[in-house]
Amino acid sequence: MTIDQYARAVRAALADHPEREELLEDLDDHLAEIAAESGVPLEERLGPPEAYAEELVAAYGGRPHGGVGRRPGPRARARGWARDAHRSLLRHAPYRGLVGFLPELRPGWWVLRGYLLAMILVSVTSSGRIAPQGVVDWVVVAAAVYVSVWFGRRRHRGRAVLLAAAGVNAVAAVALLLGLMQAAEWNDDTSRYASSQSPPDVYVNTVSAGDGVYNIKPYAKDGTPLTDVYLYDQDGKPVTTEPESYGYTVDRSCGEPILNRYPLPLVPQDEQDGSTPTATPCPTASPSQEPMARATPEEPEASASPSEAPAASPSASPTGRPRAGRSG
Amino acid sequence: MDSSQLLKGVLDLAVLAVLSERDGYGYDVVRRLREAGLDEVGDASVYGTLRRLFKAGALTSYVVASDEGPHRKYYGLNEVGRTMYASSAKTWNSFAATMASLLKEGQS
Repeated sequence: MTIDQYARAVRAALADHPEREELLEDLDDHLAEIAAESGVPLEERLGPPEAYAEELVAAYGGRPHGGVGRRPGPRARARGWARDAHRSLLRHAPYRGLVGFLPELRPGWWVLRGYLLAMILVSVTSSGRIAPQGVVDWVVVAAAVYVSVWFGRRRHRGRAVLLAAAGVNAVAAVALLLGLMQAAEWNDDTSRYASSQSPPDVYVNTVSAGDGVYNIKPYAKDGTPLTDVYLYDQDGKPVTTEPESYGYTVDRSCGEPILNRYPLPLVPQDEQDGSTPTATPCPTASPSQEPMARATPEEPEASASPSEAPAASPSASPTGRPRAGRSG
Repeated sequence: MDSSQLLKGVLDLAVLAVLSERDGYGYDVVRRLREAGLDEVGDASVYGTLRRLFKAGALTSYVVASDEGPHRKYYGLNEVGRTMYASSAKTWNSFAATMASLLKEGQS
């Protein structure tokens, strides 16, 4: 930035000052004097023109506050809004508590900042990581945390130091963000890996009878074993098992078997192609696989129907006395 | 304690003191203040103070043409400035003495 540009920027920053010309009368000569003394750019020696203007007015005085016709810049206006919002929010106890509490978080941030900077350092020098690995890493972390806390506790600071601190804080904040994103990514990867390890057991859960069961042997009330019982779940889907997983296979000597008709005619898998055991007679009826409205067939194919079955059905006493149950 | 805060209150007096020694232009005043030990004095603060003192009628100013560099506007104390300097110095001395004795009590 040349002298001219710098002077113009200062003038622009003081556009609302009523005595601007008086104040800045010999600004150009003054700046030229500074520039002539050394080759360091004006901005570096004096700070940004806006800050220079601010300091100038602070020493000179005379800037009207809230006067008519004064048009503050967007920056000053934003600062004013923030101040007003802060003031009105301070009336509320929770906000006051928060404002009072925030400074207490600073030491925590100093420690975290040291850690983050240390992780940047070790990640740059070798492979990227978000947690220390090995003694050297821990030593770097400890040193960085120490320096960060020491720096945070320091009092007397110049403008350059404050600017540097803001930069370092920004770098640490970005590192924190990146680290969190990296961690989330890794977490995602591991969970995906873990889920790919277990077999898809959806099929088993919805239509099979469950773990460890590969055949079902129904019995009637009196202990008579039932055959050719069709089982369905609540949705009308056939309940099937996977006997193959337990070393058995469904006997297919009588044609394609119905897989939800229990007990299943099972043969051990190693005998499958050998002689078929004659123990299981081929069922004659082949009802459809759809679930029936009736839970039990009216004419059980197994003739061993218990004799007291009709008595058990409620239809046995259509005109039953209502009080009979209570008196008994 | 931040010395730049203290400086704000006494910058007028410091500038008057420097100019009472001999006349000087803006940057010369800044340099002399720093040489005297006020390292943290801001260029803009000194410039603004000079302009304010000039407006208040405490300073005279005259331009000296320079062959090598820019024109230099020199400032010097006039009668008003000298009176102002004397009374400010008196105030400061009494204030400083009070502070010194106060600190001595605090330390013992």
